[in-house]
Amino acid sequence: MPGMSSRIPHLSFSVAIYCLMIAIFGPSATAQTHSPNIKSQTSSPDKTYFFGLSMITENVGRYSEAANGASGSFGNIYPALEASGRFHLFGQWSIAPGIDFTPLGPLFRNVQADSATSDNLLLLSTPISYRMDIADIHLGPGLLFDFYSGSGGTSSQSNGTKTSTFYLPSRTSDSRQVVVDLGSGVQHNNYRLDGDLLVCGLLSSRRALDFMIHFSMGLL
Amino acid sequence: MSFSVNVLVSFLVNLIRRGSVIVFVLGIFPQTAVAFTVELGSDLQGWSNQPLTFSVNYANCSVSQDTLNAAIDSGIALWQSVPTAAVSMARGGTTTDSAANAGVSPPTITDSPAIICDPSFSADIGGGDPTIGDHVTAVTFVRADTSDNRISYAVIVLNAETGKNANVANLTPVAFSDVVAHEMGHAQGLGHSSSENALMYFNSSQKTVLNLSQDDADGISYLYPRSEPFGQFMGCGTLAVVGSDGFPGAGAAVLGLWILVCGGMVGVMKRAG
Repeated sequence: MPGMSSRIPHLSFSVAIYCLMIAIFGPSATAQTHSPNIKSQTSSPDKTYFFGLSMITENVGRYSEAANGASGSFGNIYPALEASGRFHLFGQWSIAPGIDFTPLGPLFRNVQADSATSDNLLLLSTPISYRMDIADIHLGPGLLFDFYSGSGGTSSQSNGTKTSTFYLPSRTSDSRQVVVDLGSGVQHNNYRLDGDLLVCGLLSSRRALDFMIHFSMGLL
Repeated sequence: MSFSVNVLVSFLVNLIRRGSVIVFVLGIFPQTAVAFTVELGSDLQGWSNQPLTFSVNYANCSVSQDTLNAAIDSGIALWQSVPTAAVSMARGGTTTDSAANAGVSPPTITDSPAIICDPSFSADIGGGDPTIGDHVTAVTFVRADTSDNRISYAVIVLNAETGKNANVANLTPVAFSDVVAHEMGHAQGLGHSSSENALMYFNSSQKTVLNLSQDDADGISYLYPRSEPFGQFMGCGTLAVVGSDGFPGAGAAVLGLWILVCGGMVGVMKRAG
């Protein structure tokens, strides 16, 4: 697969930086106490890990979802697996890095008969969170990967007054966007429910909105 | 407050346990198909030079220069609006290249990529089929270097043949913009999509709104992926280049500010600890 080998270092580098940030922030934050108790909603645990499911809608209301070109409402819907942590910094402030990955691609898109390309998302985010009672708000940057990959082959498509052979992609290509993650969540005992707005291309005419809802459970 | 949160959490947990959420989600969201294709070969890569500047031959056009320019600009803006793609295009100067030479091998067009109006569309493009001018509004010729599979040549030929049904002068402004944007998609390496919602669908007769579908966006992002934060940052092109849709240094400033905020918090935390 030409191109794939040149993309993997980019992803590895990004994930390495991300892990380094967690390593920097996480253990430092946990050094204050040794009581990772998440049972109480009013306590301020120093370190908590969550695992759960999320739904990501990409490019809300942006693209055509009808034959006449009219825009749709939701955009693609991706079911994702999520792992996140919350590391207490001081007072009401925490840093809450998270990873969301869509191993199945967008709903329905990979079950069409002529589908030869898969599209998956990976979101690495490191928002800073401010806690207010059981709710919190968070804001910070993230890196959103879109992976496009296909197995190659050909496809016969109408072309003017006849049909022609076109080609299905055979490489893996990843698009990376810096996003601003703004969200809010509530935590009750071991459970968290979060809603996030991801702003892509914040400073450009390409600006687009992604929404994410995630439900997760504290395990550690 | 805590009561309602308790109820909400319990409700959601029960829903997930029963699988109801999945059924609910699957039931209400629209279905789309990944269907984009590329031209010339499965390993095709996009143009290496950016921005992609289109030269234009306005001679013999059946639409006004302003109309053609407006359609070209609309197409450029449309493709450049994809947040996941790093596409940069521009409308360049004029060229005297002829459509009759667009498809010959080896190519003799000197100002590729180019957009050319052709008053002899059926003869030049149809290969002796005089009816082609009644059915085809435009054709794009694309070539790639065999050494690296990158596109190196593209010429868009618009039907300006008098008396033919598919003359671009017979199109509505939206339909004309749609045709030009569609051909620009070919010039960038995209083939036809099997999705009727896509700009790259072979038939544009149903289009009343100039728009891309997710399938178009996936295709162009596959060929021209964005590479933030190192290649571009938050839509600014590169950190060193002044673009039309961002300003230099803004991304670096945001990143730097965030590092300062995080660093400051860690500093305060360590001092407090």
